[in-house]
Amino acid sequence: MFQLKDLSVAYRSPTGPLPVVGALALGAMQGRVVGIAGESGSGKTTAVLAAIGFLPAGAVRTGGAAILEGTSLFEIGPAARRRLWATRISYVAQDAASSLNPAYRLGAQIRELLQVNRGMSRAEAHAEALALFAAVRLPEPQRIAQRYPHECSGGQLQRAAIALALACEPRLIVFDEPTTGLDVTTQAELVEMLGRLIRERDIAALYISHDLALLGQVSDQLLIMYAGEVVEQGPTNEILSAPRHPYTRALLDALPSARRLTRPVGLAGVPPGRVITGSCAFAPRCPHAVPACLERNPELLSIGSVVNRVRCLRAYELGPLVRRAGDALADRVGHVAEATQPLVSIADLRCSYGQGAARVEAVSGVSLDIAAGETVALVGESGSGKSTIGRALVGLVAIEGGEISLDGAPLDASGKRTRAQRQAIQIIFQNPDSSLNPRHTVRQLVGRSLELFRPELSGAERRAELDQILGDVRLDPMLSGRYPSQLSGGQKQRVAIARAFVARPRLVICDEIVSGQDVSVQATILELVRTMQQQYGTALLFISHDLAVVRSIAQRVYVVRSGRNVESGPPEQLFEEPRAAYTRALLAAVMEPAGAIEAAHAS
Amino acid sequence: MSLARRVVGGGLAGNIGLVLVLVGGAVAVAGPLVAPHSPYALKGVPLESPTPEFLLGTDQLGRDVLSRVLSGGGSVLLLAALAVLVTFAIAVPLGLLAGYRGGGMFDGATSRLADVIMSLPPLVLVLILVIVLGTSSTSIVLLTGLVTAPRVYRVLRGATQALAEQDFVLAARARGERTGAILIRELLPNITGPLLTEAGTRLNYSIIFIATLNFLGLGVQPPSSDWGLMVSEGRVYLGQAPLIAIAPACAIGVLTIGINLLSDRLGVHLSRTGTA
Repeated sequence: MFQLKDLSVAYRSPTGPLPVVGALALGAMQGRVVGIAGESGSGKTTAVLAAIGFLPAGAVRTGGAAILEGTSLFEIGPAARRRLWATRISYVAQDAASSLNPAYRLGAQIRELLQVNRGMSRAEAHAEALALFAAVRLPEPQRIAQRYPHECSGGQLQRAAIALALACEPRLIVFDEPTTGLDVTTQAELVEMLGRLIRERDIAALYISHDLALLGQVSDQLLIMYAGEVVEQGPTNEILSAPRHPYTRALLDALPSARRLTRPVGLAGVPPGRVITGSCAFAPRCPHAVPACLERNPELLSIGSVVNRVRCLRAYELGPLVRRAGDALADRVGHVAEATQPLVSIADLRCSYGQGAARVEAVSGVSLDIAAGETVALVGESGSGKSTIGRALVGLVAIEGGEISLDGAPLDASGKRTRAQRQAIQIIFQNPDSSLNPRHTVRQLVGRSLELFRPELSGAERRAELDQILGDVRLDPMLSGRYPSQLSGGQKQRVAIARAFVARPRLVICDEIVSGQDVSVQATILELVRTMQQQYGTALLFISHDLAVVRSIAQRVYVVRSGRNVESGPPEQLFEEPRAAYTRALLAAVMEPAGAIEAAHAS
Repeated sequence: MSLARRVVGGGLAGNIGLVLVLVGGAVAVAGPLVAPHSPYALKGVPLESPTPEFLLGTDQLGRDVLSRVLSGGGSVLLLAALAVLVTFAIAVPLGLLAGYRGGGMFDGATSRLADVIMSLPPLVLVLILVIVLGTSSTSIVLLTGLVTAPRVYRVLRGATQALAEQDFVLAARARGERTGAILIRELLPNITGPLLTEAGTRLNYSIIFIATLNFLGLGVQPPSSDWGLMVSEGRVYLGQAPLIAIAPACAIGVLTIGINLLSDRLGVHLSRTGTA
């Protein structure tokens, strides 16, 4: 139904065209989902957009053909292509809010689409719009149709965007990470709904994502992309249970699991942002590389069956790859020695934020304890108050009820803290793009922490300490003069980690520090935080919505919902035998890649 | 260093602006040194057309127009620059604080005060105040500075507000940084873009404003060869010796257009690369 052959895309650059997609081929069938997996910089979004005829500014298609039900997309003129986009191809973007016009009500937007592209009358279009809202399981379609985008939640907006995409009865839909940033349970519902709609309406779908677990759930066929080329493709469950390409294996190894204890293994290095010719693009990071891998770029060849393809010289000889044992990551300590009193104790905490009418009680009576050196996880969905608890600990949010104690002594409710208290509790924020001052160099960012919290050091000692901590977080000291805009996402997060640990705190709060990162970067950051923690004996409060990540790192887990405790306990107990219904619901919503080999080689 | 290189290398408009500013600035600053005659000497026949001795002719009292133009820019430029300094001295601390504290009493009070000042026609305001305070250079500088401050305050407050909710500001608060330190170390470096653009625009505005005040006779007095004053005096003689009024007017135009183009260029450039 949709065939893509030999697609290559390059970006114009001062030094000549820069190839970012190389000879991509895929086929999508009605009622089936083709998953396209890859990390940031793999070229997957560029490739898929180019496949449907859309090129961002500066990009040039250097070859290939795309055929949708007999029509060749690249050979028709722009007007004809636009008509095709309007009627037979749909695109659901990552951020729903950007595909909806904020100035119009939701119902009006779909109605306009239907009236223009399917020639319906206003009444017909209205009825059809409501039907579409019902199909995407939006509650009370009449009321939603009257709302503006800013009056709806993220999940509702994403469903509305999907309804918009379905409105013109397309033959092909492209989904570009449409569930990023949504709660686990919302994500699970959306994915299940998408799968159902695709099959019911016999639409062909291309689903782009970096999340292999999600793709395992939603796609029938899988393409793994690296450096602009497909490195492995085939039926999804076969690839996920018996990967043949080392990169696929590395991605799976980096995935934490909520179902059992894993040690996610990070992948060192950075993917090249372009197509590499003349050698295997993955060779520099590949544990199975041999000298021959650097001499030529392997072809994508069938292995096993005609639909399974791998781009690896050693694929046949290596066979299906098994999970690597986690190295460099020390075992979790079984139990923390019971101290007489916990390092930090939170008792019946209440906090709110906002002014006047918009005042919201975010935390309504949460209690938790953190012992010295312990790793405690705080799990909840958005709106659970987990971030607010972290901020109350460092004094950014006022304590309105209950008490927080450090070493038995209560902390001031209005947020005032002594220097020693501030040193003892440090926080790392989620988004390193906004948590580092863009006008400060790495040296200034980490150095400020040193100046404030370790004033006893002399200038020379401080410089030595700075180089030491940068080495600990595996940042080249040469980067210390750089600004955040000159660093990658992973590097920026390392700077934030360095900044927190250099103060020699007793507790570090990690507020969703791996959310929104690629899975290999995520694993590397987790490894790093664990190493730092063990090196300095710091306690960790790990705030996250991701149960899989939490399981791989925590010694004790607290689950919160709407500002209240739900359940707590060690992960084995909580995840295997959850007592609360909410915990069970959260666990059920987690998506994991299925696979026989996974289970057989569980550590 | 690299800022200068980027400024020089930036587009036709920016380059024209740079040239104009350099020429106008050179005339204003160094003009008196190269003037062929004294601006006050009654050397020639009044209202003469240009001759080799008096390149732009003479004015109504027989003074060399060229020399007067060359000597007349200094005061305007100096006073305008001082006025801009006054503006920023007022607007930067208030704007930063109001933007950071957003929504509180301080913000409310200061913003309303700014609104009041902005709602009064600036010329009328200064006229009234000058009549009360007298026409010294100091009062001109202070009043011009005060009158232009609210707009800069607004811009800086807006720019700061956009930043105040960012995580790096939260991180600074969690570290226990005091408000002053947050304003200066964290926020100020991130608003240099709008700050410099406003500086250029306000300088322009102040030059024209002060020239206007002088034109109206509220600033420097004759026999000063200030450009605004020259235009005022030369108006009457436009039919006989137009250069008396036109030459200083062109000088004002060259300088202000140049500043305008240059600060546009700087603003575009800084907003692209300055902040993250």
